[in-house]
Amino acid sequence: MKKILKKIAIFLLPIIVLALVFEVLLRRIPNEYAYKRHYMEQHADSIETLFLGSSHAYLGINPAFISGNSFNAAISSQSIDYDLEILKKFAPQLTHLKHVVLPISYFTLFTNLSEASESWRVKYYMLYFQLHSSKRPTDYTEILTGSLELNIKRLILYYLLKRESVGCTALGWQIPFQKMQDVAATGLEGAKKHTNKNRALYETQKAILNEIISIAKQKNATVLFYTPPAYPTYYNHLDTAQLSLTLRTIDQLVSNNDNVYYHNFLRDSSFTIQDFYDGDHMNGPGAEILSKKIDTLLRDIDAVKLQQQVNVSR
Amino acid sequence: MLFNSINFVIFLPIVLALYWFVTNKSLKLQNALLLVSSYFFYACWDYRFLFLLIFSTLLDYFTGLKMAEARTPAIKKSWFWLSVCINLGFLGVFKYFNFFAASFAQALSLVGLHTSPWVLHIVLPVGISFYTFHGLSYVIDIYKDRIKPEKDFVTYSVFVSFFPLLVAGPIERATHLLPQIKRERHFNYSQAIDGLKQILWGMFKKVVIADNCAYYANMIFNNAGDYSGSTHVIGALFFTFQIYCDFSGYSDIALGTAKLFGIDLLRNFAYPYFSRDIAEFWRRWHISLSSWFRDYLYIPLGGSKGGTWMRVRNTFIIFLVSGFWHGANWTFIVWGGLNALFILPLIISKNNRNHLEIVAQGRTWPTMREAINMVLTFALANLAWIVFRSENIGQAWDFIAKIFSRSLFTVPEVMPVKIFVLIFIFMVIEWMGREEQYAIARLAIRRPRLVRWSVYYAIIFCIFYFAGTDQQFIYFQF
Repeated sequence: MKKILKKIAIFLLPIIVLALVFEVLLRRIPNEYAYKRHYMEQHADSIETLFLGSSHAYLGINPAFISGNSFNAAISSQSIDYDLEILKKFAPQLTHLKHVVLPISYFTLFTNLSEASESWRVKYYMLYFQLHSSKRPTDYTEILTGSLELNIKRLILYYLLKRESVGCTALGWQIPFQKMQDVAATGLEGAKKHTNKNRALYETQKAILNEIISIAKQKNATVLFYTPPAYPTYYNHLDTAQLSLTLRTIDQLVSNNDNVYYHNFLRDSSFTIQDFYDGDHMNGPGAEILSKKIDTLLRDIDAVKLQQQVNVSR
Repeated sequence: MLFNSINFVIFLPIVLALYWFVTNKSLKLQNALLLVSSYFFYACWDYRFLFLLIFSTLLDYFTGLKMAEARTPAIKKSWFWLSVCINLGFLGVFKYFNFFAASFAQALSLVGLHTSPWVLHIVLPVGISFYTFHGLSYVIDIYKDRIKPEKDFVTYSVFVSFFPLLVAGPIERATHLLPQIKRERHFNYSQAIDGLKQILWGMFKKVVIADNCAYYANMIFNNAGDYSGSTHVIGALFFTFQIYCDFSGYSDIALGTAKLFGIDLLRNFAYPYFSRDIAEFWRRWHISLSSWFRDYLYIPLGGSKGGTWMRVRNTFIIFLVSGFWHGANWTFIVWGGLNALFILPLIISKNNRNHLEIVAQGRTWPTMREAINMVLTFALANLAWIVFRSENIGQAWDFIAKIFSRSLFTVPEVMPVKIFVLIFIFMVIEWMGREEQYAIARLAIRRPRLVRWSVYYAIIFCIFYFAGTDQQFIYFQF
């Protein structure tokens, strides 16, 4: 027995050493998650408008076009349970928070990151956003959540080819991709991919939205929900039941809470094919238009709030 | 808990350490540990179904004792049928109820009566088909006076629930496994090393070949209409390798893990894709199930003794039942029927036992005839797997029809060269090791340690480097 244990130990030693070296090197590669956490830690007290959400917000909202201090904390595939966790984590420091802006996409109420095909991203929240909410031990390591092939590529790109590894601007907006997608085809694929027959998550997601609203209320902030614009091949192929349940739910949240607002950009015809990166994501110019439209909405909300305060003081 | 999960990597060394360092002085303690860890392993899926497993174990344990105590054959027979009916009843409710309900409603609709079938919204308990067959073989063997009932409940429970085989086999026999559980076990260095190597090879099959093939097979089967006939061939090929590497990989890990506890399980696969005819294929594929059906169904039905008609009838029965064992879907039944059809000429011409030894034994290369036979057998198996993989018979038909369309002669839309290279290397290793229990059993065995270890490091590197997307083991659903 001792003989085999000794042999196994000797055999595994190089693998363990190599694994540890890989883990350390991978963790030292800067990424959007670490950057955003760091930014929030440093600047949360000055943020007035916080953007949360998935890639629809990450690519679609450029805080450079938003009045006042704002930050885009959205990241690809970020589901609302992680939006809530981020908001909870930084709530005490968000002393000047006025608005929380969150996209309510067609899939928002029916998916979460942990159960999605991109669940490998959970590790980023555990390791770099330091959220500690996952129960899977592998989510606290780099090497056990991605294939060796991918991790070796990451090491080569960063350490040997010296490529930039953080893909967002200083204010958290995704730097636009150079290569454009086939907007019409990806719209159709996206609609298919986002149609979820499993409605089991609906109640949980609704409760999460209520919790986000409640935190915002405690901070005297408003919540602006919006459904992002999409190309016709996307919105024409959505499941009517899933979409109308989403819209009904948001209507309910708006009517039940005086700090909640909503705008639907889904079929907004002012966005043309030139504004899309793919069937349901904005490119650089599209993000500028959307960000300006959101900014106008936020200013309108401010005006309404101001008017309400004036009325109350009278 | 999956064999290819981090949880299992933590679980196994803990159980092994307790087994060989803490409980090694007492067989009873060792068996108790195996039972507790097996129940924990099973409960990790769904603790509620643990009660079903325990009930099934209790049922067969007491039935065994009662049959041995029975004063008359009639009493013995009643206990026997009680156990068989309850065991098959559970299997029927959990696995087949909805199928029968839906099929009945469909049959009624054919005569103009439209009903909405009452369906059960229940989850299939993992491993139910495997542990039910385990228990049944024990009860049948006692009924036929082949074995004496086991009096020690813990020993019997370990036989049913031993975690390496609990959820996807191999389907063990009391005559083979019970004596090992009752015997004192001492650590055996060679057996443990052999087990570790078999686990390593099983992991390679599952993670590198099966999971990578699964990605493309799923993509092609799920969007079959969008692809050409040539791409359908690739989809079918990938599923053929996926199911083999998934299930035989699982079996290798199970056998290897059992060896670490000093227990030898029944071999489940013996290089089926090197078979020269379908009869040989079925002697090499899922051996523990095929032999179960042979011993407990085919032979009691009269086997090969009663002339050609009886052989044909019995062959069809076991293939159809075997198909149905896999799941409540007509695709599995048709898959079983297809295999029966393929084997029929061999049964009628009494050529079904021509190839008992592995192909090209003691030689490097097969003869031209052997090679052609292997390719033809592989093609037949491949065709049957299309039906097995399809969601329904309609999809299977469309899939096969597309293969035999003009688009067969176009460039495939999906052509992952990397996966083809991996499959080729895998098949070369399998060919080189085909006379052993698993392909790398004697790979580089006579070479210096540095060479041997380099081979193992290379396999580990491949497992991590080429790891496909995480997929459940296919046979868990059965």
